[in-house]
Amino acid sequence: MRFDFNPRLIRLYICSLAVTITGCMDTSPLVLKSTYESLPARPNIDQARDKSAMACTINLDKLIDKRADPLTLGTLAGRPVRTPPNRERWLHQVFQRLDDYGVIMVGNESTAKVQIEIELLTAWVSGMYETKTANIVIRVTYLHRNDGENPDPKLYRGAVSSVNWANEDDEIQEMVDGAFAKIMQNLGADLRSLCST
Amino acid sequence: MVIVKCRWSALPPIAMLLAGCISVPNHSLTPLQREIEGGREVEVSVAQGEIKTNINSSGLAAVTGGGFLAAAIDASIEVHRAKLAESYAKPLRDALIEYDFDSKAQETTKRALTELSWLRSTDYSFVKEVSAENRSAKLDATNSKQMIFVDYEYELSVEFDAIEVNILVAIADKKIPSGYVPTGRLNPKNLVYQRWINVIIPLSNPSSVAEENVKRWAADDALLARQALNTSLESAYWMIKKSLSQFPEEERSIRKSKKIDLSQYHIKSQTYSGRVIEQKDNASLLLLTWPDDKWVLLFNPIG
Repeated sequence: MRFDFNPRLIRLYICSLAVTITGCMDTSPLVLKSTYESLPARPNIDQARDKSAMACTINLDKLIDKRADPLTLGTLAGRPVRTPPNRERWLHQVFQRLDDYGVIMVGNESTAKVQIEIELLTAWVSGMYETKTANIVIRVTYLHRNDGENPDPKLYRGAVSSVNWANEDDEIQEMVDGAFAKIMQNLGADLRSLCST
Repeated sequence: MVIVKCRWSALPPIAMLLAGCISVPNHSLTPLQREIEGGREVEVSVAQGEIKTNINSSGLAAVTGGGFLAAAIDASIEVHRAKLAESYAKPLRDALIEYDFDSKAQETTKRALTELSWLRSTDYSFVKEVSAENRSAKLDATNSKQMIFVDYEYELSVEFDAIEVNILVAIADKKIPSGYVPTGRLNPKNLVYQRWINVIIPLSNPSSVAEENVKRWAADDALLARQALNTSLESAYWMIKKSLSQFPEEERSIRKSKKIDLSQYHIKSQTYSGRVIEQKDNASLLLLTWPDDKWVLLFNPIG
């Protein structure tokens, strides 16, 4: 007979036994990876790959980090969660991955159908009981469209709540990436819609 | 002292039981304790990006005596509740996105502490990341003999029928007490002073549906929520001053006074029963000693 146990469930079990004595949550500071994995909420891949047909070219004019403390996302179950050392590169790298959501990011304004400015308003993590949550909010200002009027600036929010198994690197990283992915999914859909009108 | 909310942690009530509820020596400063050479450095924190939500704990593991299955079910129920709360809070958070709680908290703290000239507050700093290690490092680095930490938290109640602002004011020694590791300076019993303050602004005639309540807080560009937060911070200003100014004999006198029960206000099924510190037209300031030892300023419902 073979039993397949989710390792996270096993960890939760061990924690439930041990936590009253010592606590087994990792509380050492976590520095997020500077590479962004968009897989957690990746949209229709076929549609996203069909970039050439859609030719929705987007130029990211400015990316402004407006957070009160850009070095941190806060503390999760006693564990500081920090942004990567090269914060600017990290954020650019995240939003370049809009490529995965059916648009083509271009460096040249003149070749772009839509030009946007992104402000990162907040990015924070919190936890309660056995849960952990990440919230990221950006405001997108549409600066220029080749045809038609610019829509009003719009807020995009990515929020992910999940079980805090052991406060580990991977699960926190996945949660933050998942919150970004939700933003990209909605922003990508709006940009594709703008391109097609 | 690192912002583990008392009501979320089993430790402070247990510690209080062991120590005895009447003996709380670090809830007021004696005239001798007030004087200090070189002033006190101040650190203010707001360790959140937006208004927090609250959920009830599932508690199945506690009822069933623990175990793997109960813990897994607890976790699953709590995540479901957290997801719902997060989705309900979205319109309010969006409406408050330009509300700069962080700056207002800093301004409130500075205004309150500088008016207490004997406190000799100096070198104000602000952080979003609060941990025992960071705090301890700050104590190592400071030129002051003591530091003042003022931590703010703002949140929605579980049913979204109230907005609460929680403040912890603490004074810690730079000197490490003997027998402790450096973070032991932040252990509640080693603090020179500590006071939990809880400002509660209930919503009038709340619905039993959380989503309906949050719509009211969020309406008109979060008019009611802004009013609640502004009022809470304005109250924080005078309560911080009042609590730090209180002498031990005043504290003892309040603790000996008769409890009153403000049963007309039920929030999250809690009845606020405590000793009256001050009564205002629109609010009552109570000392609650159970389950947490804190000051609670309970406002009349708004909206």
